[in-house]
Amino acid sequence: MSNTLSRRTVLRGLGVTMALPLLDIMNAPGVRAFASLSAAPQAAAAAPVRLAFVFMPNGVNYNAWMPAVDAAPGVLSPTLQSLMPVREHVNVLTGLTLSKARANGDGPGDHARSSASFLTGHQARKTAGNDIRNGISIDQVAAKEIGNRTRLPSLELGCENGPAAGGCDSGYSCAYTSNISWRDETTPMAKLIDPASVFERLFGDASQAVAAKERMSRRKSILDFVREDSRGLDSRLGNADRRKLDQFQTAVREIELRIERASKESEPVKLPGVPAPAGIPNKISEHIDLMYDMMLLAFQTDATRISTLMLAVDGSNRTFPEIDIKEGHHHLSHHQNNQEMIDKIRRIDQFYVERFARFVRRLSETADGSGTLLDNSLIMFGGGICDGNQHNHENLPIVLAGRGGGSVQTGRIVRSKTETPLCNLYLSMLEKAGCPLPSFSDSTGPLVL
Amino acid sequence: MPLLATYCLSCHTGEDAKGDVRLDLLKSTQGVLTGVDDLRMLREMISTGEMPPKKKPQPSEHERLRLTQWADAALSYIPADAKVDPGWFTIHRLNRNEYRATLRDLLGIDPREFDVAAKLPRDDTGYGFDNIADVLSTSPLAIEQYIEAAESAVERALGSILEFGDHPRALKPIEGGAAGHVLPRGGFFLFTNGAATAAFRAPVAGDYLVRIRAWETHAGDENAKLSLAIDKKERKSFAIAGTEDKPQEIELRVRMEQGQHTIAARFTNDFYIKDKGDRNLAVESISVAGPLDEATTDRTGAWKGIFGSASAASGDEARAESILTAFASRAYRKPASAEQVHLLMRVYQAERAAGIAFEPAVRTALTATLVSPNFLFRSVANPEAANPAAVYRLNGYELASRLSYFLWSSMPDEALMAAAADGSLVTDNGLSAQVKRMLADRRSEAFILNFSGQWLHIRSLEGMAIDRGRFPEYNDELRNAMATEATMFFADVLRSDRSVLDFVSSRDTFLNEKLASFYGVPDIKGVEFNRVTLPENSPRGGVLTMGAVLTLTSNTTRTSPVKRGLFVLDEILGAPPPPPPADIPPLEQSAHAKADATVREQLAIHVANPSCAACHNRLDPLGLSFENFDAIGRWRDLENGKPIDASGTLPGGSVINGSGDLKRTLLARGDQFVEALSAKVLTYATGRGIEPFDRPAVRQIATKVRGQDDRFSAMIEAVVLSDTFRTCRGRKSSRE
Repeated sequence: MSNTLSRRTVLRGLGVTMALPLLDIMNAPGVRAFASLSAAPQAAAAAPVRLAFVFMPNGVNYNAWMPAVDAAPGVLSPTLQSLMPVREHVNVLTGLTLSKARANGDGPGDHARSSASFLTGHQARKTAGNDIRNGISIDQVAAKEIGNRTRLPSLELGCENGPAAGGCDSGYSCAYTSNISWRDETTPMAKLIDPASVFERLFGDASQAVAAKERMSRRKSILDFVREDSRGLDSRLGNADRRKLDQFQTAVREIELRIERASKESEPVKLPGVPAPAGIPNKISEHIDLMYDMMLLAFQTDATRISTLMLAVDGSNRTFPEIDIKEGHHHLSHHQNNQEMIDKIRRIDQFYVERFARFVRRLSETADGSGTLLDNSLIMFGGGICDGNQHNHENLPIVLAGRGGGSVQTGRIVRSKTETPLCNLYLSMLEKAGCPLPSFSDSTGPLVL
Repeated sequence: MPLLATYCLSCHTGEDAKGDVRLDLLKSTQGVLTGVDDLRMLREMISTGEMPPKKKPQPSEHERLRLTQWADAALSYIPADAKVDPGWFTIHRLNRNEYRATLRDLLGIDPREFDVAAKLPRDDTGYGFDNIADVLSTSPLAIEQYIEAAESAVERALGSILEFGDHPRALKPIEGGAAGHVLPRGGFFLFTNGAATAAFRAPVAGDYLVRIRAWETHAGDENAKLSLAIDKKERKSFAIAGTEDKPQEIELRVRMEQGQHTIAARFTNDFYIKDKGDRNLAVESISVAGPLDEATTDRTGAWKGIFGSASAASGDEARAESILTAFASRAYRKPASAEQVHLLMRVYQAERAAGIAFEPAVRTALTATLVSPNFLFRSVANPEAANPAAVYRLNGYELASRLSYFLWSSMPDEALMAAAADGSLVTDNGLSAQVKRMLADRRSEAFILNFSGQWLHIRSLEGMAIDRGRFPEYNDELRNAMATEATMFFADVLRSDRSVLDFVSSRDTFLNEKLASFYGVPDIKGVEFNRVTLPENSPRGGVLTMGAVLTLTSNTTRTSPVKRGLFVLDEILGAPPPPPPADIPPLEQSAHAKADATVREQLAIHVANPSCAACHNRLDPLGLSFENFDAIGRWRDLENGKPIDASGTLPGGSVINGSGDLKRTLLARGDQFVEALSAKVLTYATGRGIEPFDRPAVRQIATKVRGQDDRFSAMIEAVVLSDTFRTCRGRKSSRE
C-alpha cells in the first residue's frame, strides 16, 4: 500500500526539518487540524494554551546560569546567552524550591528525588522496588482536567532510557529517575524515546483511513473484552494486587475513551506535511531537536496540549562528543570545585539551553490562531537540582517561555523570595491554561507572572 | 553494646523514641532479629556522622567504627531455626523480554526475525533487575502498544488471511537496471540481454500463478525469448510473438515457499545487426495470483497448531470454541475457565454478527487473548490475599509459570504443564526433576543472558561511552569480545555445574585472539571463543578481573576505584555501604591534587575528610586493589609515569596487595559471597526485592549450597525448593 506515511523518508534532525518551509498547518489548504471536539469551526475562539515541562538532570553551574543580582532587563547570564534572540518571549525565574526533593529523613538519593518530585512536588517513598509511591504530576492533573479536549490527553517524551543494568540512585528504584510524569501515585507514564514512534503515535492511523475505521471498531471490541476479563481476575486479588490491576484497568479505560473520541471525529487525522523521522539519530543534539519538533507538531496539530520531555534521566552519565566532553555528565557534576569540571558543566548547560532556544524560536515562528504557537504556550524548562556538586534543591534553574495566550508578561527576570515552592509556578501555569486549582502539593499560592 | 547507651538511648528509647527509631529493643536477640530497619538506620546515621545531633556529645571516629561494626555483625546474625516468612506475591506483568520469549513459544515468532516487543515501553527496574513485580506498571501507552503488538503478532504468526483462487496482484515496480528503461505505462523495456524483475512476498507456502504480459520488437529469425525465473532459478522459457499493439500473456503455475521472492522475466536472445534489425523484449506487467487452493497450501506452524486441530465438521461456533479454549489455556498458562472462554466467544460472535468471516473473527478473539490481563500478568489465586498470617501454597500451574519465567523467561512448555496437571510438580522430587530438565534445555539461555546481563551489568557495556581518543584500542570488536567472555564464562559455570566461587576466582576463561592478545595471553588464534587455561602468572580469572567488569566499573576517561569497590561490596558481598551523605562537604580549594596526581592520590585527599572516611576506608582499598587495570581493563604497571600501588588495608586490618590478594580474601569469605549471590538469584526468581524478613530464607538456601560444593545447580534448586518460591502469604497493603 502506497501512501505518504509508509514512505519512510529519512529525516535526520534539524537539517531536513529546518529546510522545509514551516507550514501553518492550522490554516494550510487541504490540511485540517484535529481541532477540539466540536466540529464546527470557531474562528473567533481564542487558541488554546499549551503546557510543556522540559526536564534537565544533574543540576547546573549555578554561577553561570543565574542572573546577576543587578542584571539589567534584557541581559541574560552566560549560560542563557543562546536565548538572547527570543529573550522578549522568555522569563527567567529565580528563588523557586523543591522541598520534597530534599532528604527529609530519607538519607541520600537526591537525583531520584529530584526527578520524582520535579512535577509532583511529592516526597517519593524510598524503595528500590517493593511498593513504589509518588504523587500525581502536574501535567497529569492538567491532562485529567483538559486532556479530553484533544486526541491524546498528554504526550510523554524523553531522550534517554534509564540504565540497562545496575541500580539508579541510593536505594531508589529506577522508576523514580526515569520518569517525571505520574498518572497517579503508583503509575509512571512511560515515555517515548524514538521520534519515529512519536510520529506514528501522533499521525499513524491517518495512513489508512478505511482500514483504520475497521481497526478502531475491532480494538474497541477487544478492549470491551479486556475490561470484562479483568473483572474475573479482580475478584481473586488482595488489596496490593488490586492496585496493580486498577492501574491496568484505568489504562484500558483511557484507551477506550480515546478510541471513542476518535471514532466520533468526522474528519480523519491529517498529516502535518512533514516526513516521518527515521529513528533515533546518533547525535544527541539532533535527537533532542527531533523530540522538540515532535512536541511542536503535536501542539501545532492540536493532537495534545500537554507534554513533558526528559532530556535525560536524572543521574544521567552521558558524554557529549559533539562539544568534546568525554566525561560523563553526572561524574562532572560532582566537580568538587575543580575549575575544569565546573567549566565543562557550564558547557553542558549551554548545550541543553541552545537546543531549548532553537525550540522556542521555532515556536515563535509558527503561526497559531491570531499569533504564534509560542504566544499560546507556557513551556517550563529546568531541573530539580540547583548545583550538582551540592545536591541542593532551592533556587532552582528554571526558565519559562511563552505568553500563555497573553496572560503572562515576558522578557523579565521573575525573582521570588527564597524557598518559594516550585509548585506555586505550576498553580499559576494551570490557571493560565484554564484549569485553576486551589492548591498543588506544597504550593502556597499561584506565582505572580 | 555500651556505646549505644552512651550516645543513643537517651533519645531512642520507649514508645516516644525520636524518629520512631527504637534502639532500646536491640538488647535482646529477638530484638535484633526484628529490628533490622532500626539497625540499618543506626548504622547509616553513625557511619555518615548524621547522628548523634551536632549539639550532643559526639563519639570518636574509633567509636563510630566500633558501633558500625557491631551493627554489621548484628545484621548478619540469624539463628539456625529462624522461621521463614515467604513474603507476598504481587501480580506480575510480563516484561519486554518475557513478552518476546512468550510469543516465540506461543506463536512461533522468532525474535531474530521479528521483534514483537520493539515498541513496548521500556520497563522500569528495581533492585538491579527488570522483572520486579512491584515496579512493572502499566501506562496507557503500554496498553496502546500491547494492542498493536498483539495484532501484528497474530498476523505475523498466522500469515495473511488467505483468499484462495485466481485473484491476480500486479507487482510494482518492475525494475531492470541498465538493461533497458521503464516504459511510459509502467513495465520495463529490455534492449539488451538482462532481466525485468519484481518482488513478491508469499503469505504462506503454496501454488501460485505467475502471469507476465510481454511483447517483442521482431528482428532476425526467431522471436524474443523470455525466460521466467523465480529467485534466480529458471523455470520455463517462452517465445514472445506479441506486439506492442497486441501484447502476449504467458503464465506458469509454480510452488513458492512462504516469504520474499524475486520474479524475473529474462531476455536471453538479444539481436542487433545494423540494417538487419533490432530484437527487444518489453515486459509490461508481472502479476501473481494465489495461493490457488487449500490442498496445495502449507500453512504456518502456528496456523496449523491453532486452526488445524479443530474439526470443521461440527460447525463454526463449536470450532471457534474449541480453538479459543485450547489457545487461551496455553496463553493463560492454565486451563481456561468456562467464563474466560465465554468472554472470548463474545468477541468472536460480535465479529460474526458484523458480517466478518470465520477466520478473521477467530483471529480477533486470538488477538484479544493477547491483551487479556490473564495473559499479560501472572497471578496466584490466594484466597486470603490480604491476610499476612495465612500462607498459600502455589498450585501446579502457578508454580509452573513461576519456574518457567525464572529459568526460561517464558511460558511453560507441554511437559511442564503436564507435570502441573498431574500434581508431580508440587512434590520435591517432581520439582527437582523439572529444574534439571529445564536447565538442560536451550531455553535456559534466557536465564544466562538476563541474569548475568544484569548482575554483572554486562547489558550496560554497549552504552559505556569510553573515551576512544584516550583509549584507541577500545573498539566495538573488543567491547563485544569482553561481553562474550563474561557471558560464556557465566554460562559455563551454570552448564558445567561448577562452584559459584569460580565467579570470584578461576584458572580458566573464554578467549579469542583479540581478547587474548589484549590480556597478554599468548598463542590463542582466531575469532572463535574457546576455553583457555590461564597461565600461572595471569592476573585474570573470575569475573572481577574480566575486561567487561573492569570497564563497566570505570569512568569514561579513567579508573574509578570507588565504583570498583562498590561493585565488590554490592554485587559480590551483598553489603553495599550507605551511599554518600546528601551534602558532600566541598573540598578545600587548597587541598586539590596536582594535575598529574594518580587516582590513588586524588582519593587520599578524599579520605582525609572524616565524614567521607568511614565508608571510603571500606570502599577504596577494595577498588584500589584493581589499579593495575586501566579504565578498559588492560594491565599496566605505571600511571602517569609513577608505579602503580595496589595495596591497601581492609577494615579489620588485613593487608592486601593487588587483585590476587583480594580474590583470596573473598574466597575466604565464601559464606558471604554464596549468601549474596543466593539473595540475587532469589530476587530474580521471585521478582521481589529481598526484605529483612527474607534473611533466614536466604541463609538456609546458602547453607544448602555450601553443603553441595557450592554448585550453581544446587543454588538454583535450593531457591526453587524454598518456601519463598513455592508459597506466599497475604499482604495487608502494599505499604508493608
